[in-house]
Amino acid sequence: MHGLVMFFDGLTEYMNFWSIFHVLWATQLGILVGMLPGLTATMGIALMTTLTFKMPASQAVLILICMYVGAIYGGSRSAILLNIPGTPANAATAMDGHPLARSGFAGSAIGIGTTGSFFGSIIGLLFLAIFTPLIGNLALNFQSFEFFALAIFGVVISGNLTAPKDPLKGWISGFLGLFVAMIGMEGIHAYVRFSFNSVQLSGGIDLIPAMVGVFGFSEIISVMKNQKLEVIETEINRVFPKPRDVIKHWKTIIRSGVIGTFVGAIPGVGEDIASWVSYDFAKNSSKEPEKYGKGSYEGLISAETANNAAVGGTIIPVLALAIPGSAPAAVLLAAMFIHNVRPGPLIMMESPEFVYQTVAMVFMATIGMYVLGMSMVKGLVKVLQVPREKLMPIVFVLCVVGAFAIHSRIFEIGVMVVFGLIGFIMKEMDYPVAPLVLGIILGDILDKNLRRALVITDGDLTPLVTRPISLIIVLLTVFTLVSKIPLFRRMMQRAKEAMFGAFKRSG
Amino acid sequence: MNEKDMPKADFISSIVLLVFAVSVVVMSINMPRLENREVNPLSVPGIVPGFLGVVIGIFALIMLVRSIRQRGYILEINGEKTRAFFIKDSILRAIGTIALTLVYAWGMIGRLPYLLSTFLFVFAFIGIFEYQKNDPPKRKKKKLMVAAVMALLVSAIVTAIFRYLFLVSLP
Repeated sequence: MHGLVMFFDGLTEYMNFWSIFHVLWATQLGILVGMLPGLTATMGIALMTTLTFKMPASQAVLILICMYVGAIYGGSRSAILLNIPGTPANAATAMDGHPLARSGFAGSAIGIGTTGSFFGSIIGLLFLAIFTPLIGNLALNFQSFEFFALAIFGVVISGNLTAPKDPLKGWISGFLGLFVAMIGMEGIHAYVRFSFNSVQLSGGIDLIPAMVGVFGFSEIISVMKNQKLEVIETEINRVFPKPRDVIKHWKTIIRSGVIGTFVGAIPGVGEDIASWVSYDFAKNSSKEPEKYGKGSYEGLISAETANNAAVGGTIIPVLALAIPGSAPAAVLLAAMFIHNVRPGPLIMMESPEFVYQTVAMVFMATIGMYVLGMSMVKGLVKVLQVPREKLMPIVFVLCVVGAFAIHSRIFEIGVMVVFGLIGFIMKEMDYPVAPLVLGIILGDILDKNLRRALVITDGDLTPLVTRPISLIIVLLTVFTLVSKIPLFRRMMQRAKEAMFGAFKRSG
Repeated sequence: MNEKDMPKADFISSIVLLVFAVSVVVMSINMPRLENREVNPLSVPGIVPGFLGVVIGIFALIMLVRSIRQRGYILEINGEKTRAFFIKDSILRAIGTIALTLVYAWGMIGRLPYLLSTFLFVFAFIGIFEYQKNDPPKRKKKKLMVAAVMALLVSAIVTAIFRYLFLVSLP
């Protein structure tokens, strides 16, 4: 109840001209960024962070959240019309959205997708409001061992889920990220590591330029390398869906919303995995699974609900643990630190109002997204026709300014370029980049807490398995690692068969 | 990269990672233990990077063994294949993009005025990538004109927005 009051307090704070103005332009810009292949939500938020860092915190974070919600939604537009997801989060959307557009239902596909995104976002924000305080209170019991275990768990699960085909590459990416965080002055004895006598490197690798590189520059190279995109010629008919068409999918909407939020809240996993998981669930429990991939509204709504629900989900660990649920949320977290908002376990004691303000911001962004998403549909299609040869140099110019802006150092432009090249090579070799970024954030937490833990217990690591929360995290980590070992999987398979065999015999 | 070539790529990347991991471990061991400051030996700076180096090393080793099992060590690099690789359209576009962006970000920014370097970069990028050999001269000229106008607009607008609206000092 107290939370609801604080939510309304937060909401009334944003009921003024400037806030609504910011919501409108930032969400619209987010939709555009999301729509354009090659511009992702992460990059949009990273660039926007550099633009808004002189604004007051409450306005800057509002703009970033609007950008986030708008971009994750906006990607569905190009997924439907181009068969190219505007952001990775909309890959599952393209599966059914594009066949619908091809058969002349582009308008209703956009309408249903937008409505799904709206409900997903609302479900995500409800969970955000309910679970952030709960997890925050639980996290108050966290000590060095829990944080160490959580950091390792974060990169392992993120590696696992972002590289389902080859989790080993995901884990390597995550541990490389943890290593990147080791560069520069460490936090306990102020010793400078791996700087090779460079003054610039001794300050460490800043997250924003690295992310602009990994998610911006590397994407520019990929877009230029790939084939040209063709926009399909399609008449956009009625966009606003009939209530009946939405209501009949209520089960899918709720299920996808819950799955989306939950997957979003897992460290470093994010909206793209959320929408795939939800899509698979919807397909498996559907009455018409044969329609999936050929133009199923149910499939479309399951993907679009989940990825926007995941936005709320990814912000839960950002606020409660200072650990991001996805790459865009990682930038959001970095931006909060820049603005002196300190998320983490203490947030419910120090500034609980900020949690509910964030919920109010997501709410404003959701309304903005729905209104803007349903209007100006035809005009926005033209944006998709801007050729990449004209768009990409502009994006790179923005990457350069974005990397430079926060600290005004040419060195950061170099960091952006190097990480862009690393990101491109990694993507070409099937290494996911999200765990790398998560690793860069978690590296500092890992470093300080492992050493603190070792000093406290005089080198004894048993508290890792004797403290209950730590034990749970360790077990989850071990299971995540072991479950991918072929020998273990064969053993599990045999055990399963033996069990079922026994049942069959006894039956 | 296609599936067939992945074991080869893994073979190479695992060796690079292994070398990286070993050097990280060696550097971590050689980091000062700060005995003169009577620091607890369990909190020395090298302990966490050393641990990470070992983990990355183990992962790299697993990948190396796996790629060898999949016969990834047969790299089959020869002159003809290399040539075929470098004249592929997509590879040329990627290399062109990297070259142009590097010249701009490392060569021009900070040395030339921001406005000029941005103009040159955008103009060159659009001009080069929109160039079609078979275009009639008139069309070629028009494309270059459009590139110049766009470059002028982009550099002027970005400079103005960042300098006066967002108050960012530009390089």
